[in-house]
Amino acid sequence: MRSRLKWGDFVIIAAVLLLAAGIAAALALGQGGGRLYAEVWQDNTLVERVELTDSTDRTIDLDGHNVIVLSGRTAAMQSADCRDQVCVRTGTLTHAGQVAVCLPNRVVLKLVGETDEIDAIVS
Amino acid sequence: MKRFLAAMLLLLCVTGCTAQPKSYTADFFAMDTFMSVTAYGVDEQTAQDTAVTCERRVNALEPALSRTREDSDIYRLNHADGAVCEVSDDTYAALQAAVEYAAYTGGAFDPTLAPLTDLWGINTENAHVPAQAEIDEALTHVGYQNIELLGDNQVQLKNGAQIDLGGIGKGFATDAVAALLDGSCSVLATLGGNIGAYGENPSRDSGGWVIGIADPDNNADYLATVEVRDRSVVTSGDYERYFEQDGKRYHHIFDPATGWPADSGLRSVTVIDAVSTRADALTTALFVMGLDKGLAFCAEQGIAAVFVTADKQVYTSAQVGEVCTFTFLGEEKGYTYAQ
Repeated sequence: MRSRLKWGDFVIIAAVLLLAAGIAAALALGQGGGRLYAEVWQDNTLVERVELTDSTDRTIDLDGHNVIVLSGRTAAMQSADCRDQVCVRTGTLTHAGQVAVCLPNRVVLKLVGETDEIDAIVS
Repeated sequence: MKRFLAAMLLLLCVTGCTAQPKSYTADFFAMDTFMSVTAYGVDEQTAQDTAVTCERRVNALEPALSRTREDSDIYRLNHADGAVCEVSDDTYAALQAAVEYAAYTGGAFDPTLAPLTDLWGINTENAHVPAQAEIDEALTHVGYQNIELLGDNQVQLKNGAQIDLGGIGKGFATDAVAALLDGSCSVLATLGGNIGAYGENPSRDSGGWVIGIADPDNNADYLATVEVRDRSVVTSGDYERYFEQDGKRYHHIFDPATGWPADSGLRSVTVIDAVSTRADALTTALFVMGLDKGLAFCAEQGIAAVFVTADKQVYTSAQVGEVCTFTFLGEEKGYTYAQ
């Protein structure tokens, strides 16, 4: 009865902890930790979802009504044919939680993924 | 076999701790703005049910509060030529709140500015600086005292007054969302410029919600954050709805005393409050009052507010530290935290 735990027990405990760490890491990745996506919604329908990486370089043209530029880990409504230009004035989105909205054309550009810095912006 | 079972039990314990609540986001357009309600629940169905219920409640408020929809109570009231009108419970409650906050702020917030916003044409193709005589004429109809709340949902507008609940509508909707919650879900509601953060945020160890306060020069970015819980955060600024004429900018926050866009040296005011309708009315009122009067009013009334001035100074009222954790981040963007 000197030692209740045997060498084999430690192996199992170590294996379990490693497995648990692996599962936790997978869960964290699944929740988008570190990853950043640009989503383009038109009339409540998701029309594009693009992962933003340092090498992203893409322009999305919604029939000339709204032009969205994805560059590196940023996204911006470059132009819009609407009256108020609120979406263009919003500027460049760089963090998850940021949104540029073109109300007249019902187009929404949003960044989703990392939630470590902010949950939302009030403007 | 015993060892195997023990191992599985241990695995369950360790991984069980990482289980996260499920979330569901409802994005929708309502009240002339984009709205987003995210609910976190024990499972996806609970989260979805909550988010969708919130969305439905907000959509149901639109005919009660809209000024432009011809089937709305406010449209009917504005076109009744001074006759007594019966309105819905929601409309009556919103009008009561509007009149209460107008009186509370000494008229700095006023829900009867519709003739002025129409005259200036903000957010229409017809936006322009009107003649002073036209502004003076419009001002004769402005004044919350022209709203008679007669009880039993009966309302009368005097003196040609016209109501626009745009200044508190989204706050009223945020409070309506908060009233639906029974504690089974945490909810982050972004209704235009109004944010409501309720319950524990499962994404943070602190359980709080970190809200960025927009940089007026680049409103996709933020110059400070407030961490809150069970609070609403509301901003009014001059940077979203405006037009330019002869190189000068004219924004949509009118001073009810002058009939001109408030020229108070402020870019934005953010209020943190448990009641979103109150916060909504206060951001407008404090913007109109300006920095000195606004800060004095906050000190007197115990209001938590963040002011951003045109010369890039950021001020906080004393109450900010009591209701949230404020973090200034605007130094690199050229802002100074003055207090």
